Amino acid sequence: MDMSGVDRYFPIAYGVDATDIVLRACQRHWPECVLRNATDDEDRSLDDPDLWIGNSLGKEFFVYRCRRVAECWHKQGAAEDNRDSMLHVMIAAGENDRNRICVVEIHDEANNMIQKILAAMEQGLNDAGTVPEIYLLAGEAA
Amino acid sequence: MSVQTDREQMHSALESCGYGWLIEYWGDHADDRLDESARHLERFVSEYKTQFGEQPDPLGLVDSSPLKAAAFFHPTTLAASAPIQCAVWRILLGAEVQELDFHYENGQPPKLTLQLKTPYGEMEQYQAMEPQDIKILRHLGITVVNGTGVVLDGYYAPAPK
Repeated sequence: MDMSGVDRYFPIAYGVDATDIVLRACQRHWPECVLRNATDDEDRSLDDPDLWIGNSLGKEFFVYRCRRVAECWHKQGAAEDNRDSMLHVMIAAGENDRNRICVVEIHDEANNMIQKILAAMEQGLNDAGTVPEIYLLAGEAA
Repeated sequence: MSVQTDREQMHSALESCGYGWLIEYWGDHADDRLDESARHLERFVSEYKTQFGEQPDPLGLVDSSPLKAAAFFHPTTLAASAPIQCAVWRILLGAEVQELDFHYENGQPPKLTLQLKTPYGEMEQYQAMEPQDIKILRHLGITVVNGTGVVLDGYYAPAPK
């Protein structure tokens, strides 16, 4: 059976905090997930504040459904019994911080939970911002 | 980590986050407003430390997470009460908005209650203290689920031009 991943591409709207969007989408559907940078070998859970406001998470990282699954992936890589349990995320910088792309490699396109995570990511990453740049300062300045 | 907020640090943070226009807008009153903002930030740090036993470092965000710094140093957030700034900080740290009650009646004080779920699974409740607190609502991320459901999650700065 072919265990290679499939890449999904999501454009990132300018100014959108892509890492935050990805973390929240994963948290909503995989609350026990752990994350690992492509450049180190430490699994971090979502209650690690550095994931959210530090710069411990790089531009390429892996999200595993839970710690047990992460250990399984580390030991045996892609296998039939863990194909629906990992996302490989890459946030590629564009020119002048524009035209960024989020690439998510998945191993089970049919998995319902993975589809929900991808849908949440797509919606957030495409959102040019929930707030118009115009706000009233007149009242504050008075 | 010690957080020493003074006029220059506040000036630098606002400029780095793209809010240099606000300092220009303040004009001759800029120094006073920067000092006031710095004091307000100190009140948040103190409130957060009292409540959670940890010292937040908003100025550190400017380097470590510029987009989140832009959300926290947005004039709307800076003007919010310390308890609501604590809620914003918790959201930046991954807390999800579980429930939000907002009641508005023309000419009356608005009522806003936020219930957050932290990544640790704990529930926390926050209440607006000042009228300007309700302005934070415009910064919450909005995701539509299953066509009609809505998830309010994340706290973001306006999209830059």
